Amino acid sequence: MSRLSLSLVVLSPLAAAAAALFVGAYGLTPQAVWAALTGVPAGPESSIVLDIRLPRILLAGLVGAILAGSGTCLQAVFRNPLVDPFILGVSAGAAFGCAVGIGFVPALPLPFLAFFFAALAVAAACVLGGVGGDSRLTLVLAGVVVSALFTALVSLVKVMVDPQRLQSIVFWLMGSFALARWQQVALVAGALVVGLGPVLALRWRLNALSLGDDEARALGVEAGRLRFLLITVTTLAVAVAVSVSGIVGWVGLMVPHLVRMVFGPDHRRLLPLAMAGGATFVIAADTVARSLANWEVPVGIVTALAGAPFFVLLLRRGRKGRWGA
Amino acid sequence: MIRVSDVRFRHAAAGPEVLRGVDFAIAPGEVVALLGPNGCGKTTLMRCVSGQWRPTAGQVTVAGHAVANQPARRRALMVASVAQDHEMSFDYDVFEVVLMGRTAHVGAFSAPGRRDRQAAEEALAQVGVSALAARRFAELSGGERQMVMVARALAQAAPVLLLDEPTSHLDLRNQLLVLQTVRAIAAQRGLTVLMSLHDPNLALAFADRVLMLADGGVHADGPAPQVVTAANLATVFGVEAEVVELAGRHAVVARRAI
Repeated sequence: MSRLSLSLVVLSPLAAAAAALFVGAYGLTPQAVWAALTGVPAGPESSIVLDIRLPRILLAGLVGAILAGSGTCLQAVFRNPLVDPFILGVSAGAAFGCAVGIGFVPALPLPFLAFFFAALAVAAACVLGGVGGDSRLTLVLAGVVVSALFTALVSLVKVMVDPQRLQSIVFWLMGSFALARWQQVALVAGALVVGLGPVLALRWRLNALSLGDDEARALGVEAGRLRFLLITVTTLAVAVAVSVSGIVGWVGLMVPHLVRMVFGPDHRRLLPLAMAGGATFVIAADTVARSLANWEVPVGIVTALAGAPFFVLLLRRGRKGRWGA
Repeated sequence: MIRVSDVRFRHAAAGPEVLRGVDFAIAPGEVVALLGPNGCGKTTLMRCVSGQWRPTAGQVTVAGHAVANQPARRRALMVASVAQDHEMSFDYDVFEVVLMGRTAHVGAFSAPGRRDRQAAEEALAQVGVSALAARRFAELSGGERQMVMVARALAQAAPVLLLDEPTSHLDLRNQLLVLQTVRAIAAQRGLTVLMSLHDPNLALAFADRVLMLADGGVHADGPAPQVVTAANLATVFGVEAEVVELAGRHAVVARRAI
């Protein structure tokens, strides 16, 4: 694959972010955006750019990078291209935290509850499945069990609360960046550094790890320990992302696939490219979500609606076998 | 180079003993074949030697170090393994696969450098499969795959090479090709080789020495023609066979199962 297309993917989040700055209910000229970005106070335009659009775009990009990066990493860890970052119950745990918050304890901040239960769900799955042990299958099954448990609890909360709260819960579960603030941007940026930084640094070893524990060990990788580290850091980053944005589906499954189809499975290239691709995809999806109708379309709906057909198209055209098992 | 001292192994504390006091040593540069019927403990012994499994009692040392106590990286610098078959979840190309052999030589937080790529290229060249470098591993034939895995093991640059039934999925020509290559490279690089084989004829043709394993213990150990005999084949494999000598080479003609 040529250097040109590599650089295009790496730079695409910047282009998407720049374009997204101009999309929205209030029309902006390039001059106004430039003035706002360079710190010249210029009335409502500055505020729209700096307080509303920019944090939202950055948050979408950061969440996209975390979801796609974690998806790539966990697909290698579980040796399965069908794994997504929610495999160990992060999303179900976060959903339960949100449902409890909206339904019963509105005094507590929602992101905190979402994060708490997301982390709890992953921890439970890891303890149940024996994360350092030899069987990935038990870990996946533990994730399924924990997800099922928390999903049932969410349904329970849903039938207990009044319709208005029910609507809020449903809306949150489909993901949104509507309430993006700089504080959350900083939080998620921190999660990206702490969660995906180690994965980026160790990414070449993902190749060996994806061969299975026995081969990885024979090649000199402490497979159990590395897997434990990778699962911990990525799912914590995903928990933070989910706690501020809700559950944006498809990104963590689809983007790594697409990038792998085009650029091959070597994680030295795959991981950074998937992160860039995830950022671009979520920025684009969120831009569509906020400009499609008079009301906010949940971004999770856009990622699925846009992602599914695109995915099928690429699957059919893609080089046979290059993308998976 | 390899010293296996009174190794015993059982899977579960109450389970049957798979290895019951296996004891032998392999000198540097020797090419040794491990023969034995299914279920005699061949694979278990190979895994104990590679350090993958820890013996229940006794120990395996390579160059004086107990392999089971070594961290994976140190072990990989001493012992390189080639398995029977290779399944990959992702579609790596051949060069990427061979480069993975360099894992133990590359720092945890870095990627392979020029020296590692050079080592991978040399390994491919020495095995004679440089032409496959850009091909996708998944679309290779069984014989080509096994040659690539030998190249990966060479890239690992360990003094000991273990091959667990390296020819069991290959056709006649590829069986010969793989073992010929291993034999030649072992001589060039001074490697110590332990390989488990099914076919006594391959052991006769390619090993200096044969260890015949029966029922979790060493039944016979010595130069190939002295171990692969009609009597041993009858007691260990339950096969009525004749060992013939043709132009200085020994060959097994199997008649029937007893």
